[in-house]
Amino acid sequence: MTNRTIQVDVLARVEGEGALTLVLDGDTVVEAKLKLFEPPRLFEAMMRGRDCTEAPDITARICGICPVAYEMSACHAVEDALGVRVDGALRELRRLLYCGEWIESHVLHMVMLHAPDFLGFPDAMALAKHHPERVRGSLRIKQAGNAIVAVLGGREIHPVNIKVGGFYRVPSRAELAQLLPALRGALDEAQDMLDWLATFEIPSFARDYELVALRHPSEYPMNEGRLVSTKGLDIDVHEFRAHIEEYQVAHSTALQARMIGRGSYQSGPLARFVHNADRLSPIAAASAARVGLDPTCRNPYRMLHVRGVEVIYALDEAIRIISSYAPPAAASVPLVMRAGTGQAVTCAPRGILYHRYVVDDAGLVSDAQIAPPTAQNQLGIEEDLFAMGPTLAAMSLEAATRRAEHAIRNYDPCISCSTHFLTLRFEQRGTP
Amino acid sequence: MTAVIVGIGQLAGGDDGVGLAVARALAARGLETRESADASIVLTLLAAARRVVLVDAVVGGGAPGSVVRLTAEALGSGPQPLSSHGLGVAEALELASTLYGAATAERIEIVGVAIARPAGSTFGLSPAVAAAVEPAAALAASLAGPR
Repeated sequence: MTNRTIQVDVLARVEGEGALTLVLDGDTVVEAKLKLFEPPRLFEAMMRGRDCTEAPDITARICGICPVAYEMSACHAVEDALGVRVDGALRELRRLLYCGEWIESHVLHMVMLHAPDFLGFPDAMALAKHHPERVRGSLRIKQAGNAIVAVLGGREIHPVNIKVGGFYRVPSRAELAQLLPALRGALDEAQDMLDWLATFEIPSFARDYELVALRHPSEYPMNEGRLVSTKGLDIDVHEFRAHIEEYQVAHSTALQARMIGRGSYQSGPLARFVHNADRLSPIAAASAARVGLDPTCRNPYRMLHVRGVEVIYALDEAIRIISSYAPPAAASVPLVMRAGTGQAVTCAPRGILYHRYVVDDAGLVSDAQIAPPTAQNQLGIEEDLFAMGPTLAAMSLEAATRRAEHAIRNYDPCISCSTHFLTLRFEQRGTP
Repeated sequence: MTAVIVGIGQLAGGDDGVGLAVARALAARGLETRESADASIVLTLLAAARRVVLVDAVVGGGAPGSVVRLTAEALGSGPQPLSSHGLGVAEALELASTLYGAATAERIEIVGVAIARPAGSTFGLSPAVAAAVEPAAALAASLAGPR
């Protein structure tokens, strides 16, 4: 019996802050440590003493890939503190903005980062050589999402047009209508893409996850809803901290999260779909049925297909919102500063994103908490790796390393974007 | 046709934000610019047959603040543009060549600004790198000019 260590050192933008160490003793995983690059902790400190209306712009800089999620959670949490409600066309525009981010983030992950794992290619470059038209098509779909964010946000990353209470400027009907041809084309291409993804061989794996998602009375969730789980959780988001705790682990700069008294949970696309399949539009629901997805699914590898369905939903929803859009009378709701505590959960592409701000009479933030989806999913990812012990033990070290990375990428973790650009180091240890 | 200038970087990454700072300086002068955290944006522009001048931070390109002109062929050796999320510059250019033809390499220019290393969760540029924004912007603007 030998001990084997799988070591994956990620070349991230800030080097050395995202890595995986997996140690196998025979067919048992004895150590699974995922180290994540996790800036939100420092942003919490940065927010203290700042005006609460700065929260969307400052926290959006945490990530260039999903800034909309940070802006939406920050806006809703501050509005909650100030007792402001954003409704009507402004609320629809926020939903449209989220559609744009889901489309661009999901497509980038599915095709450029995750598809190579399923097809046995080392990276997107190899995939593009074998399937150039698939990759070109995915980039056209992604561009349709980028265009939504650019029109509503003022630019494609770190959007500058979003504020607490609404927008600085709202688009005209004509500005939004010009997005429609590309969105309709992308919807057709997304259906083709899903059929292609459905041909991939899906590894057999399932666990009895606690799947946590927002659930809204009538919508597929994006910006609001109750927090529900497959283990009986059904709470208002204001009760988040009574049920979910964050705690420090030695091997990661990120805090991990767990359900108090129960342990790990998962909050990504699979959880969203399992709890909200009945809230999909008819077109998206038919797509899910076509590829055999139903709410009993517990295989995290199938999140590839759920993302494909969510892209179809987001395109369909974007077309619906634009088609019925009438510009609001004002671009934002007026704000009156008051002391209070505000909380919000919104649906980032990779899971739930929780923000909480304590605001004083002058509107200054005295305390902030940001629980990003990847930190919430981290414990469960490590548990997946523990559960994969026998599978990994039966593989060569190289194949096992690939499979472990593949499993981590099921969750599209924030670092995953860089994990196709990593340096692998293999350590083979004899019996101690 | 004048090229579009693309700044790549991470605002919260200290000197890693220099590409964005250059793009903003040129946008203020009326040039067509884009900003991105990753290089996949270049694929869209090259697919649309645009010329692109890409500005990014590089590690290993000399003393911090040095402005270097890189060629697509040189990527993979020597000073490397940084990447965290999505696609790095070298990967994006290779992909563009695969998807839209080898001639895409003729439509891209790369301006690198040497930095010591990216800083996690830091806003703002160090003095040496901040001093390089203007010369990098001047080089990018001259490369973007009509051919």
